[in-house]
Amino acid sequence: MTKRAAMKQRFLWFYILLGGAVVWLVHLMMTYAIGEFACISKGRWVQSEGLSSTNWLIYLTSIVCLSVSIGALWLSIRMNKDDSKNRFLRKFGIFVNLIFSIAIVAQTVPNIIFSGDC
Amino acid sequence: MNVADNTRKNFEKVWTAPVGWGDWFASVNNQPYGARFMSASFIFFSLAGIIALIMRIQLAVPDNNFIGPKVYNELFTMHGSTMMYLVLLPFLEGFAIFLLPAILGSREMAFPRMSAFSFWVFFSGGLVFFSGFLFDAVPDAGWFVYPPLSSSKYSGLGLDFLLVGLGFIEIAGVGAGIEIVATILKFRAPGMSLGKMPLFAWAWLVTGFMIIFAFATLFGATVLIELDRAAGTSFFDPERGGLPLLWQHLFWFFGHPDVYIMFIPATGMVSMILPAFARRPLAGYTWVAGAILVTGFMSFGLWVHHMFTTGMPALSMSFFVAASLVIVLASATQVFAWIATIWRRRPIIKSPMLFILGFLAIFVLGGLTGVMVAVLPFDLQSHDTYFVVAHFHYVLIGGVVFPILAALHYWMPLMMGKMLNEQMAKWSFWLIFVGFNLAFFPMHISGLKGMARRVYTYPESLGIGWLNMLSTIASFIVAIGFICVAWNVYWSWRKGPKAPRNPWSSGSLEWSHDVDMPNYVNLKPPVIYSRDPLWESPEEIKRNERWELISSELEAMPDRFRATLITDVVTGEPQAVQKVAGPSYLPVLTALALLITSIATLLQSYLVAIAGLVATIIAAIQWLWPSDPELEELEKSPLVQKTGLTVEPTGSASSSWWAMAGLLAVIGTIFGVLYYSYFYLRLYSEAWPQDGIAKPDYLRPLGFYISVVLACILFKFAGRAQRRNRLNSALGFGGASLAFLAIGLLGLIGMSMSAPFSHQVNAYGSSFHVTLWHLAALVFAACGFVAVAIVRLLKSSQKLLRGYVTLQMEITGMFLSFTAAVAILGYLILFMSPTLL
Amino acid sequence: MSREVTSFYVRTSALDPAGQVASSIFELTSWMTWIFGAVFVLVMVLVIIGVFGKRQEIPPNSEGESKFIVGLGVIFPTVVLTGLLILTLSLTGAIQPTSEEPTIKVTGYMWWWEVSYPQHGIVTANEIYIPVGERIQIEVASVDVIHSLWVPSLAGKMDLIPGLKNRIVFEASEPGVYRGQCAEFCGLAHAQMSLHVVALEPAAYARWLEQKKSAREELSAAPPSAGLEVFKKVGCAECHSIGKLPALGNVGPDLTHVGSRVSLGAGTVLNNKGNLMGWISNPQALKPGNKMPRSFLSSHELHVLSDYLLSLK
Repeated sequence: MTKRAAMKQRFLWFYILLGGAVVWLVHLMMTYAIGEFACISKGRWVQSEGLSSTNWLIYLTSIVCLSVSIGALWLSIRMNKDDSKNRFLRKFGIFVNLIFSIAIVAQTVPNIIFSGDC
Repeated sequence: MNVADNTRKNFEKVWTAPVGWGDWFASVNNQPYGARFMSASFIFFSLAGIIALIMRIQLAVPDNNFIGPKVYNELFTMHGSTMMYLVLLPFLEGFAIFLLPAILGSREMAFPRMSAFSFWVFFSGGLVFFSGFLFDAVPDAGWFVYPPLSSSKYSGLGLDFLLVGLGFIEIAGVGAGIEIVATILKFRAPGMSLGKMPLFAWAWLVTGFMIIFAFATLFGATVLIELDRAAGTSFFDPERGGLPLLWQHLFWFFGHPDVYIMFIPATGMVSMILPAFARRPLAGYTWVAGAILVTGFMSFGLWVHHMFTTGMPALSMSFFVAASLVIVLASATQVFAWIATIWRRRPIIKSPMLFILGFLAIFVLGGLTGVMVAVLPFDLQSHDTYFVVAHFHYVLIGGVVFPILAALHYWMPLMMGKMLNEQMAKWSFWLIFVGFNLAFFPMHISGLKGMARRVYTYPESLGIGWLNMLSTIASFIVAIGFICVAWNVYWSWRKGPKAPRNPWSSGSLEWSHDVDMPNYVNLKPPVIYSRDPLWESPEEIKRNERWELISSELEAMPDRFRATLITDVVTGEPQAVQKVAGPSYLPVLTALALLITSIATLLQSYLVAIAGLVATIIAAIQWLWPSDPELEELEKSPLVQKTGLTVEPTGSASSSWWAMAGLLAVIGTIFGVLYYSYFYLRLYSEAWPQDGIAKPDYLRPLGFYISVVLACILFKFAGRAQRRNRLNSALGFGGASLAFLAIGLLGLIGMSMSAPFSHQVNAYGSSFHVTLWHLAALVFAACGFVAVAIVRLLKSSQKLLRGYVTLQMEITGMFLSFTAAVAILGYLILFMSPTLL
Repeated sequence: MSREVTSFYVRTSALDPAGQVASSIFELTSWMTWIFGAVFVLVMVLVIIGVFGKRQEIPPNSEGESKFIVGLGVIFPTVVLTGLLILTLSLTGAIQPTSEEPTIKVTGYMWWWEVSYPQHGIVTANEIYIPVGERIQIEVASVDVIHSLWVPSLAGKMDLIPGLKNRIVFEASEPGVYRGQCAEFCGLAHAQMSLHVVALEPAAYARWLEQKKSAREELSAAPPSAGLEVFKKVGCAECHSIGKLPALGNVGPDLTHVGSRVSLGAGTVLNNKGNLMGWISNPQALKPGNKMPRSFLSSHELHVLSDYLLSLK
């Protein structure tokens, strides 16, 4: 295996292991920060007129983060099922990234219910 | 006597602990330290348990005046703090330190002196906690120490005892966390890839990372609150622009993960014990490992659900409601994996299994009430009532103490060489299980019927007198159950029959040993081909030639110093032979000096405090001073010649690299606390800087920050010169780097001293100055690291290309790059953000 | 012996809701109790089958096992919790306070509650009078440490945080007296920092407001009395205000309407002459830790002072 291929392999490992987790944390912190800034700083930092721009900002964050975690999920599903070396990583990746994707979707629900309301 | 016998004798000698006093204070072997962690936390557990019984007597009948409000407030503070900080986690850490080398197929923990130091610091912290009773200064503001109640205006010296004790425990916690992570990542048997790692290790791997981030957060927050109390800063003082809520955010960012820090290792133990009694491998191993990772991560995103009644915006809180519900999926997966394990094959019911079944019943109920309190409108009613008291005792006793008891009964043969008495064990199980449910289930009802938390008494008109009486009586049944457990352990230790090898016919690696494990645990590293090595059938194994060779070459080798095999983080492929530290008095002396310093500071005898501080620094320097690792000889031995393993690993192959990464994670988290506080305070301020303070000039301090960055770049050149074997140029670059760091340090101190406002004026002033102080301390530490690296270069001037010199330069370089990054961020936040944002 | 006010029926429990907010939360509570109770029973049945059931021994890691774990561990909770999430968030929205002017302001002190009606100039303590059938916006704040206002039969709780102004909504559906309690640990007398909410029919509430307003005005016009002299002489006025006579420091509650209160010492004892005399002589015996010192009055002074205070309606 060349050094480059080894690097790629390592990256794949870490993306599948931690990609969903990290991006979920980023999503929660981002949406929390956007919500707080819009509601508490009363428009000084984030526009809060009817909260519409905030809502859109949160949707955008959700879409970006969800695509990263779905990406990790997709990569793990696509892994070779029969290679015994991959079996653990594949199953692990599917489970973990599925749950983090569900979490990101669930954390977007408040945005639908509380649109235009702090 | 042939050569092999001689080697064996030498090998055993280097691993033997010193005798007499040395055994107590200089020994660093993992097994006694695991046992010490457990014994010390059992003592603290007994104290906190007695406190709980006194509180239950006070609450037995309405309008009772048995101990009165002052003592009651002190007791509930001590009960909560002791159980959270001194009992559960240290006990679990004791298990980990004792068992991990056996479970991972290694010989020691990664940094044996660190486990010794962690223990002594933890024990000192416990003594500081309880010494408040001697000075009639018992903390009485709750384990959560919410300001303003915990400020110097409303709370006395007792709180300083609590906070200083807490500081000790945090240091011990992150120390143990880093050590456990490094051990699990590097100190595994050949072939033990992440996918074959026992779930005990999986649980502790995730927990170790959580401890690092959670306890570092608490450490940063404790420093801020103690500065508010002692130095007059204003982070949490509403009268000077501070925010009491800031503390709650910081505290629960630690506090919520802390619950899972105790729960995850407990689930790891359940996943080890349950299969032994079901006589089959755990169902859904991969999903359980995944669930552990999910739980660990998500626990950092739930902290706001402790703050639903603080008036935060509904939108912000709702994200955390969603996260709190999703984490259920991870716990549910684990529960159904355990049930699936016993479904296909009827389990044998022995005492450890009984405790596991009790755990399942109590934990599932506690988990479901946990979902209820995560539902925001319900939490508005149940928050800070006895409903919550019931919920978290179900989770902590059911979810953590029951697995600990199961583990105690299960691993006692391995840890003590004796079986516990089965009859007694069954008695203690039923007493604790029935007593627990009778004591804590009624609290769900009394809470909803109007009983608030932390009240020393309640009026008869609430109609909850009989529920409380029931709780009180049942709490004594629980106490009798625990006395039975303690008696059983004592009796079996003195008089019990010797345990046979692998008494439960388990499949996991640690049971391959005789019941009295030697200090070095493994004479040679076992080779791992499956998840349950003792259950595999030898004919099905495809043996790996290289791993087997390495294993047999390492039999009783190296015999001049303590060493063990280290393997790849992911695959478990052998990488190198790592030297580990031997006996030393330094850990206990450093801890002692630290203890004297803090107690003297608390009692305001500053001369003693300064002497203690100097002693601490001297001990720390002595500890970190580069010594000659005597590795050359080993290179010519057949061990290295035949296997091609190095004895001087560098970069991320070395465990020191991981220790440095852990340290940087800790420091980074502390700065995260500072930077978060800065923006949080600003968010609530009408104007920033507050009170008409002028915006800072961003050009004047720029030079000092640039010099820190320059120091980092110069040190990179020093590292390159060392790798090219150019001593003079390495020394020159190193010296220049040190000089630039000193300039940066002076600049940071100057910026704080020359500011036209003090740290006491308002929250902005506090945030500005305290951040600069932290940066100065970081740059000072960087100077220390560079100085140590220069000493290393001088001492090894003839052997500049050795691996350990390279490693020293690498980890120092890591620290410098990190320092530069944190400093740049600090500059952007303190000096640029008020103008730009 | 009960020290708490017991002479009339007081509703104290979240399981006995008497307002729209508390009722909707109670309904949610009942639903969750039933559903989670069923889940608990289901899990326990599975465990019991695992321990005692007869079965064929099937090799591990079969397909069915995976379906069992993922089905019950991931899919089943996802379905249940999705419903719960939507229900939770809509109820959260429904009980949020609005941003209109608050009717009542409650301020926390160690260890009592100041209650004021800014539109009417009324200041009283430890009792909140509200009209039945109206959503009352209450603004809460604190002058010292964090307290939390919790009246289980009417609503959930809201923290009183120094430096912040929070909101809570009270809505009583029927007239009555509701007990409340500080729910955030606030120091020595935290357990005895309770209060009462009195819900009146709208007409009675209007009369109450009128009476309080005129009582304050009459008091400032009233001639000096012997009781007021004792009040000033022995130092009560240092901490307590009466009418237009302001206190030196705002430590104890405003006593303008003390005679009409239900309880003394923030819900500690029933308000009558005997208890009042006892409270004045030795408040620490009834409510340990509170900030009122013992007083050493002659029996005559004590009687005069108590009669005077009880006359302040």
